Amino acid sequence: MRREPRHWSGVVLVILLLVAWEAVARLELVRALFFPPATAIFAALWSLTASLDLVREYAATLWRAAAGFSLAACLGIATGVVMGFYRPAFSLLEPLIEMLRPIPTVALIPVAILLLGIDNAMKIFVIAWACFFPVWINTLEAVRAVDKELMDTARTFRFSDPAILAKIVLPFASPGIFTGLRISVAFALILAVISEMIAGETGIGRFIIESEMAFRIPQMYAGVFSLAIVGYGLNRIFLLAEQRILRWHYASARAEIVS
Amino acid sequence: MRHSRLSGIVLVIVLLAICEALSRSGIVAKNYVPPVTVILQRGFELFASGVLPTAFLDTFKRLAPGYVYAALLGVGLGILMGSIPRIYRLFNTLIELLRPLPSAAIIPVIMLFLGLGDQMKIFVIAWASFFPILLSTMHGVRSIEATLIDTARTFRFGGARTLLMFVIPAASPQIATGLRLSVSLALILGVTTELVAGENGIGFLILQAQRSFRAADMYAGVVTLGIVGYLLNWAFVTLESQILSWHRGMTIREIVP
Repeated sequence: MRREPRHWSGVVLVILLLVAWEAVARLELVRALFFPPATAIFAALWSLTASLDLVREYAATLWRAAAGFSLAACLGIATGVVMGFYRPAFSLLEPLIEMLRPIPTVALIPVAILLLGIDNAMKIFVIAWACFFPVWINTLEAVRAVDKELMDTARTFRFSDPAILAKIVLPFASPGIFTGLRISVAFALILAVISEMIAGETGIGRFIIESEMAFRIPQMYAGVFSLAIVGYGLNRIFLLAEQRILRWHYASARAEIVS
Repeated sequence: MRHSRLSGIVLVIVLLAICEALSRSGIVAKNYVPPVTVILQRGFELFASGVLPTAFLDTFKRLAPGYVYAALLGVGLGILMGSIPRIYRLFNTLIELLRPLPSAAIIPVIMLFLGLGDQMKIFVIAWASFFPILLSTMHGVRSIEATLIDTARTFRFGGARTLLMFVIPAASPQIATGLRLSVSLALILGVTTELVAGENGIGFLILQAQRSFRAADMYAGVVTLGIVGYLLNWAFVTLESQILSWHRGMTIREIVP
């Protein structure tokens, strides 16, 4: 009895809020057009999923997000490792990156539209740009935090630079790198949605804003709800993957280095 | 360490010179990438004529209230949730449900209720800035050592005094981190709302410049926005270290002995 109430009050609050939503909508306390009952929203969510309309929009959005994210991950990890490992590379590139970093990525959407049009190239560029910085900074800091004595020891045993990178730097820096990647997953989804809202014909961001403009209000809410679910799911999947991969990394790091 | 940035600064200058040369020689179309000097010149003109300052003023008129609402609500609820388990349990599920939603996705919803004007934008800015402040305040308060609170209780300090003299100082580094993270989020959402439904502000200025093919104006706007973003972050970091050094001194003096 003492442990049960722990989760209940929170769930009860969410249910109460949904019931209150339903009641407010049914009694038309707020303009009914803007505020459909919760059940109507879930019905719309269900029929949109069943008709595969939402699946099609998400395919477009998630494909772009994945492309931009992968580009940023490759570039961010590569630059972060090289800059963390080689001092001259750090001095060469740091001022340039630090100059570009404070620009809010959304402000680059008009620039990207001018140079790349309103299609996939523009969106992937904007997503990659936003995802690059968290990956880069977390990789850089993780690589710089790798134990210098350990690397010196490896050098004493005449390990080559690539060997040190592969066997010491990457395993030790991987938790930091993963943190950067996880932050970027959220960025990828956000920028995909924003760029779709501003320009284009497909994707969940476009779906939500078009539903709003056409006053298909339950569909609009259904789109927003689905985005919360997808955002939560992506983060969850990534955390699980991180745990799995890092367990392996830790084990290998221990086996190879400690012994 | 001192002169290590030299090569980097040289690289930036070389890149800018290459852009200038490519644009001047016509290899890259001037309508898309104008020469750097032209962008700078337009930047100064727009600044002197008051166009850029007005745009930033319009943006900050929405940014400031949105951010302040988020800070008050986030710190307030964060302290409550961090110190009272019952309230934490009550709100945690709801917050975990709302947090993964990309904040830009609520723009169409809020547009329905509040229209295209300032109210909608302030709400969206406040929504986005709220979560980092709430979460870091909550974690900050929850990670306070129990000994500290017990000590306050031993000395029969009341709730308000414990809060002001123990809880807030002890959690202040995390609260400050949340407040700093949210400034950049507020700026991002400020610009995003202007791009989606703008009538003025720096985001709108950049988009308008792009739509009417005034590329130099567009780049000038983006560059100024980068500078303002940098200064904002710098101001916050400086303020944070100033305020926190004072707090740290106080915490050590009052709590450690």
